[in-house]
Amino acid sequence: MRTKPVRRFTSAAALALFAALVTGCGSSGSNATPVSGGSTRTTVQSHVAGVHSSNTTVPPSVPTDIGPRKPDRAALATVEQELNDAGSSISATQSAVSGSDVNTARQQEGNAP
Amino acid sequence: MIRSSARHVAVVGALASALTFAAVGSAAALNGAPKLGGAQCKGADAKSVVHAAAVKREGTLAALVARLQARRDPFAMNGPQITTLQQASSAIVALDAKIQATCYSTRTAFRADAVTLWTSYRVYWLRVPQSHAIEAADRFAEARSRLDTAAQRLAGLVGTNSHAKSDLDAMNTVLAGVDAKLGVAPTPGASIAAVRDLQPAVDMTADTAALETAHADLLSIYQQLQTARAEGLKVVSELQG
Repeated sequence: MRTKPVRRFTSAAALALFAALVTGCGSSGSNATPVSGGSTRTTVQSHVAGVHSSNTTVPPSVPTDIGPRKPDRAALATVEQELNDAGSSISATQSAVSGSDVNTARQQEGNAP
Repeated sequence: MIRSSARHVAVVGALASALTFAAVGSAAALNGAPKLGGAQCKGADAKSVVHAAAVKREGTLAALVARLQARRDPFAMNGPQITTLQQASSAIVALDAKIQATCYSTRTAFRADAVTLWTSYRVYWLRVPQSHAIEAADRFAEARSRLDTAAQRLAGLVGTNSHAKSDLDAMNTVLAGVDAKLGVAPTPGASIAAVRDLQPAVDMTADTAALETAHADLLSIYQQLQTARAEGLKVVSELQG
């Protein structure tokens, strides 16, 4: 008597399939998420001559080419201060600008006796 | 006895008359109305008005000089203007001294001298707005320079942030508009250069028109600089995310 083969989908096999999907084996390019300076490490896939190599782990300080990179806060603070100083300079012109109004100034001229 | 009293009264009366005459004469001299060959000097009653006007102008010119001396002078306009203002002040002092010391034979002669305090110097009609326009350009150049520094720093920070880049482009466009009116140091914009070169005139029509044009440009520059700064702050905000 011939028995029907039973296919068992073991938990180990499911786990392997899931792992393959998650790591994205077969895709090309970097799949790393943008590094935002946190303490987590990001896994990227590197290619050498079109051949997949093993996953390598890079520290978060290594910039990636995906997504806008946030400039450091110190640089932005410097620019913000420069803009605030510019604002003060602009405000300081008010007196001079109003004083340049000829139609107001000439009223003080008066007439000769 | 009665005769003696009458004589006493007559002497006292004569003395009183003499004192009164002397007092009136002194007052007239103090009022700048000395006699001129028996005739009274003309315009003496208005000399105090001229003197007050001269002193007021000297004070105003000194204040304008102080304001310009405190500035950086990026357009090289402050130095010549300070010289002009100081020369005007010296000339006004001399004119006032001459008018106060002169006994004019006619009112017309007095007025011919007095009116030059107004028409030859135009302290309020020309020098005040002119000097303020020069000072405003000076201050605007400083603000413009700060915004330029900020824009250059932001250019190195925007990276691939499209919103930030767009706002930075807007900032630079507005700053270019500022340059068109304000000029780029050391070359002032056209309307500001025109004001710099104005001279006092009897007919102030042309001067007034030039001053009005420059004032309108200065108001526009003020608004543009505010807008450019606001765009810069937007870039910073975008980058801070």
